[in-house]
Amino acid sequence: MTKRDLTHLVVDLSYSVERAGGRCVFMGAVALPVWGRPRGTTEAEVLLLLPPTKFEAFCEVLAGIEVMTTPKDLREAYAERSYVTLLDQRGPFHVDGKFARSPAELSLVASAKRIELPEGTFYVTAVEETIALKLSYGGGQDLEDVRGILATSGDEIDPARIGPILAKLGVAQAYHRLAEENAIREAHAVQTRRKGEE
Amino acid sequence: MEESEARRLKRLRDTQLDAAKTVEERFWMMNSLSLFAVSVREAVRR
Repeated sequence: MTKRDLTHLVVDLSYSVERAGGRCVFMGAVALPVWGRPRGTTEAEVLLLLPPTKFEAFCEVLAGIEVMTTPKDLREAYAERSYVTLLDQRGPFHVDGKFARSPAELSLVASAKRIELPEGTFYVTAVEETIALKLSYGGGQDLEDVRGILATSGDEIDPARIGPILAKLGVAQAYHRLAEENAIREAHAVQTRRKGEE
Repeated sequence: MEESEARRLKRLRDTQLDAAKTVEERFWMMNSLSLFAVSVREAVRR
């Protein structure tokens, strides 16, 4: 049997959540290649908007696409606000799911960006939220990820939207430092190109 | 807390994958990620 690649896993999973009456939004390793530079990882994170009454139906749909979890695991993750592993039995990727319950998580779902591929559609966190979350994690690789997003999708960031999001997570200063660094790098690149043309 | 079945299987499989990952398997995973990245960037630009 052919192994399932990341594109098909994301699309299949999104379709399954919607069939069970919910919505899901991918973060981390799936959102990153949309806005910046991809990371070599087999793990993805997804926010699930799905009421407990739909857990049995969701597990049945997941079984149909050979992704494994149980209603018990879903209920525990929902109650404890922790992660549940959605294990792909047809490929090396797996997804950690978390239920969107807090106002901040529900806002991530509401502002998500819809991505339409020939294989199907799915949602990822908007560019502004993706940056703010990365900065709030604050690791060296996370800052590299933000540099990649600024270089790739800088023009798509809405300055009016990102301000309050950064302020809420207390990462405005870190963002402005990286944005400034990116602006200097871009100015240097323009200068070098001009010199080359002269 | 008791470890869930899916998490236990994932842990087992990760251990097996780490031990048995071949160059071909790593190439397949990176290729899968790269193809995903190319198609989503195109979708965002459209």
